[in-house]
Amino acid sequence: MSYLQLIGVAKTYKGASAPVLKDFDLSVEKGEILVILGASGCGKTTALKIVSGLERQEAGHVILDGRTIDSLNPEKRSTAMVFQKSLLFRNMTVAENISFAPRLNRAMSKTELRRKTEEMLALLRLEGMGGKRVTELSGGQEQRVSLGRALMTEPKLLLLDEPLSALDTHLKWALLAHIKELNRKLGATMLYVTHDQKEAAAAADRVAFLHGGAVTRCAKPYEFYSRPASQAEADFFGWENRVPAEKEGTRVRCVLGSFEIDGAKGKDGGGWLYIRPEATENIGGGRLRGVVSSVMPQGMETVYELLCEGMRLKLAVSARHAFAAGETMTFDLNPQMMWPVASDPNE
Amino acid sequence: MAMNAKIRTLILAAAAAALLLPLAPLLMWSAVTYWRWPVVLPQFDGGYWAKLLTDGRILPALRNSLILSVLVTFLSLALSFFAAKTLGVRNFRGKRPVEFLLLVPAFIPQIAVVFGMQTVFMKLGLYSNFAGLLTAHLVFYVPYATLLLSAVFENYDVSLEEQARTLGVGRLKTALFVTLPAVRPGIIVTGVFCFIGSWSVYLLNNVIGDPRFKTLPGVIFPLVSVGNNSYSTMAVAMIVYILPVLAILALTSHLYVRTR
Repeated sequence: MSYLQLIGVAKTYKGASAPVLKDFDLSVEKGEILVILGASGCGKTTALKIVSGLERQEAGHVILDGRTIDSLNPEKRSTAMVFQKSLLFRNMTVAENISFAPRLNRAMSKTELRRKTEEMLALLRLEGMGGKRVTELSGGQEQRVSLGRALMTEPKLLLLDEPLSALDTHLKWALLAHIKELNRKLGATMLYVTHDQKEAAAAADRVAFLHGGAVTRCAKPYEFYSRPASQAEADFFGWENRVPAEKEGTRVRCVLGSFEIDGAKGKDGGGWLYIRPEATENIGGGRLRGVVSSVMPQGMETVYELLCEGMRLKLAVSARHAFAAGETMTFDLNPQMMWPVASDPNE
Repeated sequence: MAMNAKIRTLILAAAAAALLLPLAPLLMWSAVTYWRWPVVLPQFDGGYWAKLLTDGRILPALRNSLILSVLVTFLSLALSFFAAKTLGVRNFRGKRPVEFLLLVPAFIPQIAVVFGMQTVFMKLGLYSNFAGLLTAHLVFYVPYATLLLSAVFENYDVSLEEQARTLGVGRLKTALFVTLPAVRPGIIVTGVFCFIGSWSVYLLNNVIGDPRFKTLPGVIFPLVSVGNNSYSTMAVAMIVYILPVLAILALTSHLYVRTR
């Protein structure tokens, strides 16, 4: 049995026409970081709040460490949550924030509390800042204090609700590395929510993709990038191009040509061929021809939008090659960066 | 930084002067026995202070007013707290009409309400006793505090409570150690308004209150009425009336600044 299990969870908000979660199943193993990934408003935070007890589900069960916790109040669940905003208590110092819960619950002696707070400050690389007011901290430091405050409760499960989305890029990746380090050092089990696929790929041991109120697949991040299982996954994980295609075994035919795709499974017939923007190769000497309609330089590479065989494609090309709008680009496409996906009847 | 501190000190001094300067003539008149044309310099005497303070009615009335206003302040805050929080942080159908109803006691002249209250309070056994007087004050100040505090809660982030609870802290401790400190400045301001309001009430105390429980307005106002032509008596009475309010203001502003 998994460490955390959500079985058949359903939730509809008052006044909403459709459930935000339905038949929601999820399993998290002890010590892993599982990221729930999905578009904004798809129910990720609701799922987290149901685990924490801040929201109650209409159906289904939440089982943590072998115990059903459906009826427990948030404070009794042995979980701790870190929110998008740091939500530090402004009337307290950094150390008082970190020691907040064990101090109020008298969970340990004063000496032990002082020692553990100092240890936590060191772990968070905030040594010597315990006496500071939280208003003096930077955004990254605030979020680290928030993380430390949650870890001080020694939770069975740490819930992270988009903890990095309010930070700038540099701080974001630094703090993410810190979260992974804490996970490794403390063996903390973490359920992490984000809408950012790059953040998910960097943080996760496994990713659970949430779409239409349910987890459609739970797998290693790389799986989503190389083998999308549905149109929703492909659209979400940066498969920018799709063309109507016919699949027959591992061969896929479309207006751009016929391609042999290793490992292509699924049923044969009509569907879509998804092509990553990075699939472009043999620039200037390839078989395909496209007229450039827009140019978006992005540092080391340039993203071109072009019209090829009546299809609008978005392709990333090394910045060494330079094309202007209206020019013709010749290129080939690498089949290893293509993947066939069956049509979604609901789309 | 030093310039900022200087500017702040100047602003504080100007604010203190604006608050206290109008009291200077009162202070002077409280000790003047005679100063009319053609006398150029006033004649000072502490006699009016001695007379008023030895008047057996002033000090008990001062004590009664303090007891009543402090009780009204704390009870209004306590009784309005959760209603104000609900009004402030939640959106529900009928919220605006509820807020309008809370304004009603402030809209309608007290005199129009008091005589109706007198009849009802007589039937309830709340007439002419301390419990009745306290209840009558609360009828006005609980809605008032609810309205003021609800505005404070509109800017309150309820996620702070969710945060505390997900860290394993129960409802009561969350209310005491998270909610209260977060809205303390608003509570202080609301408390001051309730205290000053209750401190100034005259009509309710006279119509509903216990005749044996005299409050300061009941004793002081006759001294400052038209028939009394002694500036000095009026000045002493006004100072006695205002000083506790100023003391409360000083104390709470200190608390307010510290909290922020």
